[in-house]
Amino acid sequence: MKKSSAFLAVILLLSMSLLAACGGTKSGSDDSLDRVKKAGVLKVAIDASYPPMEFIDADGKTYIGFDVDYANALAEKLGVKAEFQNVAWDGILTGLKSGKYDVIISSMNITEERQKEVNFVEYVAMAQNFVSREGFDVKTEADLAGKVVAVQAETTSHMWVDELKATKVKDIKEIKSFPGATDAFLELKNKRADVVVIDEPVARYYAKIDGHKVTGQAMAAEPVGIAIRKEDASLMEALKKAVADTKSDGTFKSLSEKWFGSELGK
Amino acid sequence: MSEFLAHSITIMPALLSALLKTLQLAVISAVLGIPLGLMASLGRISKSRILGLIASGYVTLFRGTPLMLQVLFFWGVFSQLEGFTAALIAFTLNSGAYTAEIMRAAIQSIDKGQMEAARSLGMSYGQAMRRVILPQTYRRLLPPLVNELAALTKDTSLAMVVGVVELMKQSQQFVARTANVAGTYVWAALFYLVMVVALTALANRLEKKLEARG
Amino acid sequence: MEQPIIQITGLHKYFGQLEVLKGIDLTIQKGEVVVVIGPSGSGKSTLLRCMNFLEVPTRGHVLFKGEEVGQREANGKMVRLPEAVLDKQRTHMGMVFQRFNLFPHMTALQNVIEAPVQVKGMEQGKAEELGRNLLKRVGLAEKAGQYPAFLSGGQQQRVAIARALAMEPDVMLFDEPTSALDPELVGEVLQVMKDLAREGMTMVVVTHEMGFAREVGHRVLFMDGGVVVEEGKPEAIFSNPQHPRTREFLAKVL
Repeated sequence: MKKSSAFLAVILLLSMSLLAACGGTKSGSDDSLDRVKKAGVLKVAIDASYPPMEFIDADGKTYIGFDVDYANALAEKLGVKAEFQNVAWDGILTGLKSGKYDVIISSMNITEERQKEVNFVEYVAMAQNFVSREGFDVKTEADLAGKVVAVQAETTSHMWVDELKATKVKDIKEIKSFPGATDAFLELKNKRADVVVIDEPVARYYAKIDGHKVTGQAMAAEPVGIAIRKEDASLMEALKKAVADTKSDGTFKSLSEKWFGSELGK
Repeated sequence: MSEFLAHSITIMPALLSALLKTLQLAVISAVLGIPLGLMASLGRISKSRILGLIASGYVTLFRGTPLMLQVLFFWGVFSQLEGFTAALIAFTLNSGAYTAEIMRAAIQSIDKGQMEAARSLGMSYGQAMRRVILPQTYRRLLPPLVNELAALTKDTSLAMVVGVVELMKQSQQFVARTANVAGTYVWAALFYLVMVVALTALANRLEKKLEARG
Repeated sequence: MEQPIIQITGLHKYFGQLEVLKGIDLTIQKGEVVVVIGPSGSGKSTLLRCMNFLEVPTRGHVLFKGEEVGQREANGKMVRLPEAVLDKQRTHMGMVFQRFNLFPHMTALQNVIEAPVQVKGMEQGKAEELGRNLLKRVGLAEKAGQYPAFLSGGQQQRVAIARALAMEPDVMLFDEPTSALDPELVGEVLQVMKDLAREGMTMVVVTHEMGFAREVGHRVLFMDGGVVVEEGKPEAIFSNPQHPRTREFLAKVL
């Protein structure tokens, strides 16, 4: 019974997937922009545990952050309102692919891997920064020698530091990775790490509240984009234009200054 | 101390409404999962080969794949399902599968002589199950079932990957925002503890009641 | 002549490769008390359990009042009868088990009336009256509200007998009814069985209690190795066994 039931389970699973895959496809034509305009709503997904890009306000429920404000600005340019769905990072791309929302505006790095599945509208580039605790001053990658480094797991910073240790700066003392940015900074606060390597805006936010210093740039700025389904071509075009407009009319600049004190990447 | 209190007061409303979400997920999937598990366990032991295969397939599938995968699967594959519903479906099916195994083991642990005696009196299989076998399983079911429901209560945190802001996610968000780790997670821990302890206490009372009946 | 209650022809039973019943022919008339004796592994319990289809015969026929029990032959193959038919057939055959098999979550009275109410649809009040009378008959009127856990082995077995009798069966099948009892409790159960025999109940009893066979048995069957080696009246079998194996067995147990 065991063997045949396992086999049957696989058959069940496969047929379910096939059925659902067939059932889920929409008609060939792209009406994405019209659909959004008709609904009057741009559905945006964020993972609201990433200050200052997207996080919650003191009441625990209202979504705030650079990405939130930016999404609202873009929606306005499209003549609609932004509606947010808070999805933990592990599921955020799945939700986009299955049509739960229109876009992801959640500091998602544009990578080749991801571009196989979705399109991106680049809106900002974020560098990776060193945040050192008191008594340490990590300015360059060479300075990482002999230090305990904390990073957020599975980020480009993480991969960069791993690569460094394997090649150029072999005497990095230790690399500790954590599921959340907060955890990495907690490690720093408790003096169990000497430096954190992380996205610039996040670095600045936590440096400010914990009293550390942003001491240098680890990696050059990497593009961050709005993730959108490949078939939503018209919506993508409209967003590209909206992004360009925010850059030219100063919206992007004022939001940057509001959240980071200066324009990002500069 | 006053800092802790102040922070606690700030986070409490949002935390409580997230707790409600967690409770809804846990209770509804438990309530639906138990009868589902009973049917599946009966299917497993039935003489019909088809029923047996379907039930086995279901149980193997949902015990053999990660719960997170199940949650993401329903949400990702069926475009009409919103997060809460998808999570509920996955939790119910998952809980049903584990419950099925618990019940099957309990049913099969009843002495075969009981079924023989019932059938020899002319009772049908169904009557024998309902009147003789199943009532004897209730006491045996309680400890493993309580374990399963306690696990389910904690597993509801997986709903966050499909957009449900339940207790765990809400706590994480507060921590992300304020970096106040202890002052936030201590409440989440307390709430989960209360739910599991209440469940265990309820089960103990039930067990005592069943014991009185001999 | 009246139709026999039970008629068995050419009964073979295999458990996997092991042949446990190697061709049994047996006829049981109404009112007969047939006692089956023999060493363990001889197939006597299996024979009994084939009568109410708790074991499924591999080959051969078991007829109850002329009707095939549990399965019938069609085109040379054995075809199972619908479960409902089998259930109905079983209501006419009562069985008493070695380990009593009382329902532990029900009182003695509830045990006794369970089948009449659930299977026959008897009205609760009427069933309780029937149940109390039966419990009185087996000497346990005052234990009606007790749970099996609080009854001695002998008391439990007597309740089990009352439970089987509640369905007013045409035959009572006893599968080593006293083997699991402490010696001092055996007597009370045997007494109930003897009374039953004297009242004219058709009984098939697998047992080691030779005294019972002698007192109320009409016929004794000695089984060994899956066959009926010898059969006859109790006096004949016990005082003058013909077959060497019978003699050997009786020498050991008498």
